[in-house]
Amino acid sequence: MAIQIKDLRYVYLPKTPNANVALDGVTLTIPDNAFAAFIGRTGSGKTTLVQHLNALLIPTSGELEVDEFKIVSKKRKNKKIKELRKHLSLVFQFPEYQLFEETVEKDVAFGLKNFGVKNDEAIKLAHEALLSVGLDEKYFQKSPFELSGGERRRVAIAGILAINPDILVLDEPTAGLDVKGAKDVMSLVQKMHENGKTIIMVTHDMDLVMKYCNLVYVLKDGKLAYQGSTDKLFDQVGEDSAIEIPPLYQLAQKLKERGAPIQIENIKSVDDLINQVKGWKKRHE
Amino acid sequence: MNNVTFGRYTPYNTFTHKLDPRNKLFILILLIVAIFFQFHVWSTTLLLSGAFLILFILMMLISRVSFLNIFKSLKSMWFLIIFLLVIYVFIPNKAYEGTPICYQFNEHYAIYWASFYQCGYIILRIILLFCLTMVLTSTTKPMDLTYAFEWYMTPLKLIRFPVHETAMTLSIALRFIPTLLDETERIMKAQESRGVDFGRGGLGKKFKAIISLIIPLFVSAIQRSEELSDAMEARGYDPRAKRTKYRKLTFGWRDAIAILFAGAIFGGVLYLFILDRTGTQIELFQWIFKVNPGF
Ligand SMILES: Nc1ncnc2c1ncn2[C@@H]1O[C@H](COP(=O)(O)OP(=O)(O)OP(=O)(O)O)[C@@H](O)[C@H]1O
Ligand SMILES: [Mg+2]
Repeated sequence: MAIQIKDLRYVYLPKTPNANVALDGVTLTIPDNAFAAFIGRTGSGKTTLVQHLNALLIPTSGELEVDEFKIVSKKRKNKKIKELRKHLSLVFQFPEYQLFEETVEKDVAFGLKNFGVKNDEAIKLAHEALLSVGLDEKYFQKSPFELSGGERRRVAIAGILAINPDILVLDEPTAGLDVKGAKDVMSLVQKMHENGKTIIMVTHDMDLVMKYCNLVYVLKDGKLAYQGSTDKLFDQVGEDSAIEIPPLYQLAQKLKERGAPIQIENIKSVDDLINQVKGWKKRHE
Repeated sequence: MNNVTFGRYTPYNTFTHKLDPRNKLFILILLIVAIFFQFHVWSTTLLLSGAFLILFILMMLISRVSFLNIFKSLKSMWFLIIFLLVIYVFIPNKAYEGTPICYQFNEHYAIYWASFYQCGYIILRIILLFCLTMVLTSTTKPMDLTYAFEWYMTPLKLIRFPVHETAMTLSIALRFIPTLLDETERIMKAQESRGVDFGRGGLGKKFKAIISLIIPLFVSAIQRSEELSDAMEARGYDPRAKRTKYRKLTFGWRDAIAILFAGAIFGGVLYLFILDRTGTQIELFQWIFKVNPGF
């Protein structure tokens, strides 16, 4: 098990009239090499939860285990936080706002240097990371502030990829990107997953969940409402308005209802459905 | 970053919360002036300061202001306290000559008890000021405060001082303080994810850490202000236009009680002060020159 969360509770601004219970008794496990998605309405506590994973937030009560690292509610008892942050890296919602260096390559290398990589080595790794997110040599010497929003997002993601964590957490990585940008980012993440990394993603996009994720966790008002595999999720939620069933899934479901021999759990994209329908047609002819 | 909530408005519904902000501002100024009266006999001053402290603690209890904040602010002031101590205690001051000696180095240099007293008194006054402003800011919405400022500045319109514009600027600035604090927290977390350690590290590391926080913060603040001014213009904001208010400030019976109470305290202290000053004028001058070098 890569991640185990036990009875996690988190209160923002405790002991004030603004106190806000963002997470309330969340217990879950995420296995190694999972491609997990956290979904739920805005304000359901997804961001709060993932910020616990690398000890940016310390639980009000309850505890977490991330591989060999343990995070408990007592602040002083948490050791090796820096090692944890190298092991599990978090890409923030709208990460483009964290850039500050004068050139793109320096900004990507910044995180590496914080984790003790020497300068030359860091720049080399930064170049690799930038190339992998689709930014070529032209960009290395540019100032991050003269890039477009999508390009900045890529730089920020490269900054985390360069650290080469074992677990990668992304908070709404595709929010505000165009179709191609979103696709690029997701195929990059997919590649990381194929290379053996555990991926945890927060998203509102059910198509992405259906296409990429094999595990889903649904948060509702700070509580865990569902954990399990993706295809069962859409089966179970039914009319729950918080989760919009992807049209593709609905179509497949309707076809199946009318007697088409469709294996819904194998459908990840439109092409999958087309192939199944084609195969079924062939068998009929 | 836990002290970012320091002095922030807390939406309780206490007596103090219900007061008119104009009234609260006036009372604040009255009490601040009252704190700064210094008397001939130092024991009188100390006694009064103690009374003020008790009064302010009562005020904080009534307004449900957290005491924790005071200790936190004291913790962050330790440098100032040490600085004051060193200045007051070790820098020779002719004024103390003849008062009880704490430690005699040689015939030209000694440390006097009076210097400790003076330093402690200044720190006490700072704490008193802290309590007062905390009561004001945590019971009054920033917007209401600016309305109060605007109200007091209205006469300045006669000399064509841009009262409304100033108040608007002020209210926007106040409005964005919590937003900027949230933003700071967000950027700090993002940089911490990249291995920045804001607490520890050598001077160079710390400098870099702060740069990694300040630059994104400035960029977003500037961006925000541009967007805000565009949005205001798009909705036809004209600073010179005459405008009505959505919320009217009202002076109620609570305000009458509060102002009478504060007025009585101020009047009492002022009366004592005048007595003190008229009774022994010559020594008084000496007193001012002797123990008030900082002010
Ligand atoms: N810094 C903060 N201070 C106080 N309350 C907060 C803070 N951050 C979040 N909250 C509150 O905690 C709850 C959960 O917020 P969170 O950001 O985890 O939601 P989310 O699921 O990530 O939403 P979104 O999909 O909009 O990103 C919300 O009710 C929010 O108002
Ligand atoms: Mg979020």
